Amino acid sequence: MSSYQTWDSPASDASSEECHLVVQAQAGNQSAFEALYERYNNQICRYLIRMVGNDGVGCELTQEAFLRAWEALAGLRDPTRFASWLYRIATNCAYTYQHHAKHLHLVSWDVYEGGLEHLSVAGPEKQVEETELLKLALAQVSATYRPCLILYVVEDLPQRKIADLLKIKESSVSKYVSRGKEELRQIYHRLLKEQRVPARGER
Amino acid sequence: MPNQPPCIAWAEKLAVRYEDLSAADQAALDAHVEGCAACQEAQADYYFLDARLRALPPPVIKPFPRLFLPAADDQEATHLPGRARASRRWSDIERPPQRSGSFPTLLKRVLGGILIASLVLTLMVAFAGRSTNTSAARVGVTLLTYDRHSNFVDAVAWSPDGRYVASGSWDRTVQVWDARTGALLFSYRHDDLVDAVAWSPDGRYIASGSWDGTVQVWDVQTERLFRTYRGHTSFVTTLAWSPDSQYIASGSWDSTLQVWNVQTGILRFRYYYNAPELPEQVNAVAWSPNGRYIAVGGKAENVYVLNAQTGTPVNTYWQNEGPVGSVVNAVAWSPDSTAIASGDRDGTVQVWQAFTGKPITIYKGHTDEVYAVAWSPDGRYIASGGLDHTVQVWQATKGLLVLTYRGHSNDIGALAWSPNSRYIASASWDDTVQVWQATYG
Repeated sequence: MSSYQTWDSPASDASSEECHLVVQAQAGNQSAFEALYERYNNQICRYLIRMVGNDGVGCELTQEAFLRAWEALAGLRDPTRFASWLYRIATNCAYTYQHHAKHLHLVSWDVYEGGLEHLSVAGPEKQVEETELLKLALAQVSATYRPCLILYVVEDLPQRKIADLLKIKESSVSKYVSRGKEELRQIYHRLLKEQRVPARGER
Repeated sequence: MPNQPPCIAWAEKLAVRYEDLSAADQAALDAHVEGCAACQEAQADYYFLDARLRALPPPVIKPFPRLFLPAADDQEATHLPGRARASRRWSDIERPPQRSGSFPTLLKRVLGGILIASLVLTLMVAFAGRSTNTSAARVGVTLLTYDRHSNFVDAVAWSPDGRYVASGSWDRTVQVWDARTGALLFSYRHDDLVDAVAWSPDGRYIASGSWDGTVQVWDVQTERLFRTYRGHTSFVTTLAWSPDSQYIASGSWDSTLQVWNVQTGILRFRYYYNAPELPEQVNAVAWSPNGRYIAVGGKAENVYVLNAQTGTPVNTYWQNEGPVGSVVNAVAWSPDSTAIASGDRDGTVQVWQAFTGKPITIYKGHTDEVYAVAWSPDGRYIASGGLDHTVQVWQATKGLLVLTYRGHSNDIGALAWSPNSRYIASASWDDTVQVWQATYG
């Protein structure tokens, strides 16, 4: 995966250059934080988009995560842990968003625009349809399993690295991935079934 | 199409990458899948979904780094309904005061030097002590292995009269059994795995916290459900009773600690662990034996000591942030309510004064993450266990090892001392609870 190399380098072994940037940013150096932003922006954004299943929201949450990181940076005690720390902030942003979205009954713009029925068309759109379904299904996997699933399957990270980023036991990772995959499978098939019903004119 | 889940015993192996399995596991998995239709179907689905997930197209839009643009450009920023936030430059955003200035930095370095020297000296003494003690340190003797759980056991509690043990497992059950014979008294179920069990000090109730988000309180006499608390929005991972058995403090991955009345179910207070702007999941909670304070720890690197009446923090203890980052997995009060032991992801157990945060000792006998800590009721020893599969019993004030228990073949999930401080019940990811003799000398 394109992000593998970056994530694979353990946060605790962060380059001295990165540590230097973090320390400078902690001292209030805006340029240093911009450099960190450039370094992590894409992967945090990709992660958040997969977490919430929506490109626009994921991008917005990325901004939110970096904003929170900037505000709380002085509280980071170990500069070598910046990546892991940032990752947890991003995860919390996703959780918070989804919690609020659930209460406000917000509808994903992708869903609103297209609607599941819209996806059930024959022809070359099938691939798009499957992709949209999968994104929706992934965003519905339990919050605990979803980060593990994304990091393991999409980002292709080793289990130890995932345990490090999410602060969970390494032995829990395979358990979470297993549960996450099975949830994803069930949700995906359910969505597929729901999508097919109107297409067949059965309701 | 119907989607039968894969066999429980093979689900994990099916889900991980083939190359992550040992050669033996690969061969065993292949042999099983060949003869199991459900696992075959699951495997095919997993391959399909994995491939599709990896092939998800890159985002059609990219984050626009508007945070760096001048304020005038802010108006162009797009906002989500209900959660709009004005774009700002980093420098426009108020930052908390820096914790280090030139003098504090110098002071920190000097103190750090002294601390390192002290630690080296302490370690030398500790290692010297351990070398003499290790030879004398005993190995715990198993008295009973309880093996009726069918999955990881992550919670254990001893009845106040010392006769029974309650254990909670990933098999979703709480099982209450005789500590001497292992005979099952009764059991009950949650809708998801059980991560915490606590026996009320008056002996009347057992409370259990589950990943189904609830706390169930069961009447031991009638063996009936007394109350289900549903105040959490995520997994309940830890529980503690007040010494008067009137309240429960429950901690959750919804980042809250909630203290509620067991009889009425009414919330006394809700505390957001760490900070409202950066909430973190709660892993551990302990109520002080004098009833006045609650210690709470979790995925931040600090332990908060709260006023049990109001939820107001009275002290914050910062764990040393090690190379893997601190996570507080377990906390335990000394019986005299003056000290706290906190088990950390970095493999240490730190013992410190509850109200000053002053370190008493740091135990470093484990080779991996510490997941369970229990202080003996007589105050003399602390038992700790974790991912190195051992339980180690050591002197609470000096950190000297006195006993190692090696009866488990997987991670230690929870520990509980018998009320007379003679036995320990250890719960493990090897699916067993083992009761063993913990006295020394």
